[in-house]
Amino acid sequence: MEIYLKPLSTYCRAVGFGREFNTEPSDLVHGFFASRLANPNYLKEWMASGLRLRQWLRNGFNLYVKEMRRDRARTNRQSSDGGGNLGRLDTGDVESINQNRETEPDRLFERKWALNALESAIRVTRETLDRKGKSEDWALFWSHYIEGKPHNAIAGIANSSPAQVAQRCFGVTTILREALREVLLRDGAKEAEIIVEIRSMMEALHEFPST
Amino acid sequence: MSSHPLDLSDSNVRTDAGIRLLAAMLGDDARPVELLAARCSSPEGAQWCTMVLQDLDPRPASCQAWQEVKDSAKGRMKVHSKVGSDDASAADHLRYCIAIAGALAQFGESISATQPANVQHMINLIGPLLPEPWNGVFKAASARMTALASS
Repeated sequence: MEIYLKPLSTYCRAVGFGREFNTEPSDLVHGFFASRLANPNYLKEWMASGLRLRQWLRNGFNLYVKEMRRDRARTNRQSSDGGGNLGRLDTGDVESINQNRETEPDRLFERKWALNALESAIRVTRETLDRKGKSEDWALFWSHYIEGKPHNAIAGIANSSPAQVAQRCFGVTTILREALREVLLRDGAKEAEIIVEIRSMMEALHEFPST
Repeated sequence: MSSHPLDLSDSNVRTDAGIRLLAAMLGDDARPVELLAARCSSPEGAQWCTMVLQDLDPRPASCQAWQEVKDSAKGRMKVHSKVGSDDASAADHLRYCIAIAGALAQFGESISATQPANVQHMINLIGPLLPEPWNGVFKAASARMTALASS
């Protein structure tokens, strides 16, 4: 669940749940995890839902917050005369704010999730390379794919031929792709949907989208 | 050589690095638009885009002008793909995308036979990577796409 903690905390902050309940977003998310994951059927229900796990958790988190609001309104009604009206008005106000902000927090959630999924895949890839005694290959890969250096420019520094550099970069790509595939499969993507998911992640990464 | 993880503090660097990593992972499944995104998000991507687009008018007098930009770019793409010039192909593809977005943004016309979902993907993926005024053109094109879809 670690991979979902930051995206849900980002979502929580963007929607304003943390301010609403005067608590740290991550504490609210931990509370949600503790509440739902104690139920052995919760993840079984997700598997039957056909949703991505991240979407299931985001929906579940919204429900969890609604339950917290309901409990708070009930407490308010019990503790003061006429407090019930105050509680209902308060809840309605927050609902209308949330509806207006729905798109942006959802987008931020997807962006944070995509970054976390990538970070997770990178961590696994580097651990795999370390185990194989190929730690240096990550630097070759990064120089080529991220810094845009051609194989022959890297070859001199890496004391390898351009063909060997290309082969080592390809090896890293294969491990990284497999690691990300595992993350996406755990999130509920089907094998045939992996490529579409990666394309969606490319769009989701933009901080300032076209729309 | 550096060996950065993805936990860089500058979020724009994170975005660019992430797009290039994902394009690398697509491998043979990467389409021209994803390869173009990787090119635009390279360290000198903004400079490259500016150079490729320097002779284009962001607001031509007629939609026909965008059609001509698109047809010309499409013709050159076929030639460059045969000779295997990746950078020249990417430049042509960028002009091809600009023409489609420009016609949509300025005249509300779709000059592409591509499926709307693929046009939207192109606009969403490439637009934020472009310098102004092209970034604004893609934003306007995206708004037009949304309006067209809901009409």
